[in-house]
Amino acid sequence: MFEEEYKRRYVFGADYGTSDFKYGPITQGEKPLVVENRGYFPEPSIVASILGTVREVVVGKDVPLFLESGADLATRLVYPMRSGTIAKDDSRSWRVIKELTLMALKEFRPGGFGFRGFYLVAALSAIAPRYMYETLFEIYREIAREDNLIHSATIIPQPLAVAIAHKTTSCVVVESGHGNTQVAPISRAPIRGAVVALNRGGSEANAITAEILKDAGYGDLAREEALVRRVKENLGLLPLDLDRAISYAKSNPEAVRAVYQVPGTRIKIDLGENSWARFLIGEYVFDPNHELFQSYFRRGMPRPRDAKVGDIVFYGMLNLADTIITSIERCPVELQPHLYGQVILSGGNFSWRPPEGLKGIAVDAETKLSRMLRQRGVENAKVTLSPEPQYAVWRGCIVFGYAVPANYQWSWERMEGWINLTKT
Amino acid sequence: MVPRRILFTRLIDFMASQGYRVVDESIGEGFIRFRDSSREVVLRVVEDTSRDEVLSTVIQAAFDAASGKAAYVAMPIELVSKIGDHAFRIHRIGVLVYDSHSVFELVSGEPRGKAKQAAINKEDRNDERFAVMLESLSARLTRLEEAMARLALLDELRTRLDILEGMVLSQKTRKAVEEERSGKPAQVEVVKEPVEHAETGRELPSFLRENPWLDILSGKSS
Repeated sequence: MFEEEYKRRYVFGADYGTSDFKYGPITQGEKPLVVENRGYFPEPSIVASILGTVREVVVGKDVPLFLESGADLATRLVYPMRSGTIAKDDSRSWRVIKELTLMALKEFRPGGFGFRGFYLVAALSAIAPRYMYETLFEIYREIAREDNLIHSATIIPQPLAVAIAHKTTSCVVVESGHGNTQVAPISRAPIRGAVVALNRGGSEANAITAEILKDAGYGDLAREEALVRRVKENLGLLPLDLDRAISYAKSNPEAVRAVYQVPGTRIKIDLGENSWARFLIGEYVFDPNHELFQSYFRRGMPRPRDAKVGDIVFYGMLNLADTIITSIERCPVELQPHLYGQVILSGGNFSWRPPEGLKGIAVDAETKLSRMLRQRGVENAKVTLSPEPQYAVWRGCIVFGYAVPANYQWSWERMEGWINLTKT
Repeated sequence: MVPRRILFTRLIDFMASQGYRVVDESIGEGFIRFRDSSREVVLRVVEDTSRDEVLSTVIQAAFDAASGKAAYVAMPIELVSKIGDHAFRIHRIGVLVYDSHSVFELVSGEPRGKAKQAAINKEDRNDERFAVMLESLSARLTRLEEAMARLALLDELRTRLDILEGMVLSQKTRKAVEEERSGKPAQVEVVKEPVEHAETGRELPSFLRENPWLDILSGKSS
């Protein structure tokens, strides 16, 4: 009983997202702290060793202070979760994960009497293979041994956390990150056998945005990933129907034309007569099969390939509606209406805002997906966009840790429960 | 030369700083008697550096020492530099040296080993005092920590009470709605709204309140 009270006081959530690491204890309230999920391996310097400030890896807010210019920046700056998974032998990525976790826990270590370590709930991608769980638990064990910061730990799939945060017990969570998209049905627990993954995420939308910039004469800017992402977010549109949207754009070029001024610079991006291509950016996330995309593939843009990681196949070209249907149809028939009745979209890839003047031509993600499902015979689908997708997983972690009893032990068959790390 | 009254005052101050209080003094005869908790000290003052006076004073001091008292002689610094301190050390006569500004102890008049013992005793007494103070502080700290733990427990109980009240409220409302649907007269009992602790910031985050997953997850068992 006392352990239960202790656990509730010291629940700590850690969401290892593709771009950001969200963390904090239950006392953090509604929102976690957020830092970029990355680490920098600085070049060893004589000055640093003289000053005694040698650091193998730097994470969190300190990273910009250590960044050096130079061609090897790309190799020194590591984004461990970019593709949603970390290779077993990728020691540098695992090192970053350990350092980020340690930083987060230390930041909230309570002073005074009675603290025996946090009850840590971590969230990983639904397609994370078993070795990722094992390696992460090993890291937690080291932290518990070295710093007494973890009492017990558990790991849950991110879509389950999203469902918990949305207070929905039967639903399908579509979580789209930088490198991939996971569709995970939930019915009081994740239905692991029905998870379907796409080898497509924010990075593919960036790729087509870069191609569109090149076609519009901004080839030099297309090489800067951060700029391309901003152009995608500011100029990209999601069409209700791609053919109709392009035909509207070609007959009303001024209605679709937009100029993006990069804040703080003199750079203005005007797609001009190529403004119709704004619709390709959103469409590519939902369905890359339109014939228009073929010309980009022929010109060298990589086609999303099917890939296999562990037991999971990541589909490259499957459209989003078919992916959801495939996933739901792996579940019992009786459950399927409940799952169609609550499709939750989570992740920045679904934040499409239709401009006032293009109503009915450009739409939001819920409208687009509902239509795609209807076209495939699913009439009763209810698609909801997570209102604060960046925090949902962390919130789910906190609820999970708060509610699951402290004596519910981890089982590799069920893939849930607590591992007590205070026992040697 | 330092006026005799001022010199005596300085000598008394010096001995007081060593823990002795004055019991008798004679400026005319040139001595001051002190006591501490255990014994008597006689301090004889030499002002005139003539051989006779020095000899007379030292002989009297030797008598004092022989009669079981602690004997001291106070001498001007220029005299000490002439005669040295060897004889005083041998005969266990303490020597205080003074000049126009200050007084200091050149030779201790304590019986051999006693000075060291006194210092050790003093340190022991201090250690004892610190130990008692530490013990008292530690007890107070423990009581504070226990009080804090009880407060945290109280917080937890209040939170859980809020949740339970919320659950009872929603259950009653659901029941009333069901009875209304089934045509039975609804007997709605008015349940007081769960108390919000907004002013203390103790309420649960919104994503925890009325979350159906709480029931599902809390029912898990190995």
